[in-house]
Amino acid sequence: MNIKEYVYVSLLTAAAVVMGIIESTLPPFFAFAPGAKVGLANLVMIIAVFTLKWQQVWVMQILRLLITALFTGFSVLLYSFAGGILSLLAMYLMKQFGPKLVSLIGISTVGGFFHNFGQLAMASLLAKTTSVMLYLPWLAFFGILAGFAIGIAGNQLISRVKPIQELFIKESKQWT
Amino acid sequence: MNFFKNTIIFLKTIKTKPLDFVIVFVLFLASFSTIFLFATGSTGAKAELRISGKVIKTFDLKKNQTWTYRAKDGDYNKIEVKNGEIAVVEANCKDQIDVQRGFISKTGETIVCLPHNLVIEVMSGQKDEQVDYKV
Repeated sequence: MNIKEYVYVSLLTAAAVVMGIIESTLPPFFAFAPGAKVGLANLVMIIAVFTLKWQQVWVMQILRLLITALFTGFSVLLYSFAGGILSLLAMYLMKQFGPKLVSLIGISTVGGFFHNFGQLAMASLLAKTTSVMLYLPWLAFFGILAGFAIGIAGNQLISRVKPIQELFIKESKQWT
Repeated sequence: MNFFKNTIIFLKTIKTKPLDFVIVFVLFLASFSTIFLFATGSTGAKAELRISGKVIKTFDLKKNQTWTYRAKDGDYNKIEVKNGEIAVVEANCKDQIDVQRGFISKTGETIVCLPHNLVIEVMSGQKDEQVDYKV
């Protein structure tokens, strides 16, 4: 890693942390689906997935989760870890299909779905009750919608912000 | 028809691929499987017997047993625990609703005998029954 990459990873991490904090202060959008969020931090993650190498993405995700927890409290750390790690893993597997079969939007949507799944799985594990899982279809619906929106936003960022675009072309040329 | 055409044009401009939709759709359908897997409600581990809201006795549903609640005025309810289920099998109340209720075993289910102010509720048996769902 050269200094430029260090700076870029740090910038992305900082952006993701700020997005996470901003989002945690917002009132819930949907009163009928508590826990459903747009997942602004995932916007940064999807950019990272396409402009960084995989080890760097993992480092960034774990840093992001830890630093966000410093600001929003450690009580939800287990939930955000379960969601964050599972969603990144799902995005990684989804990306393996290659640019001919899947797109950035699809990857982001799968990430959104597994983010919710991970959090609910952790909740039912901690509370030792499976009834929490009944909430999954409802939450998954919003996760998919949010992932879709985040994917569109990510496409726009990549095609309009020049430094990101340069790294995107360098790191994942076949996806253009 | 125009709507569908426009939707497809939109989906093409944002560069989505068919497999995206297949995978997301399959995942969404799979999420509904939780309803069939877990909808039966969890089986409780213990049951509380309350008279006028006061807990008189707690039953361990794993142990088969019979126990009779006797009040000073001669009211009685014979309670049986069998194979993880609990029921009032005999009582001297007028309506006999508690006896007709039969065996219960799922958390949150109750047997009520209003004439005797008696409530039996199945509990999960864990300390933290409330899930603080904040993510």
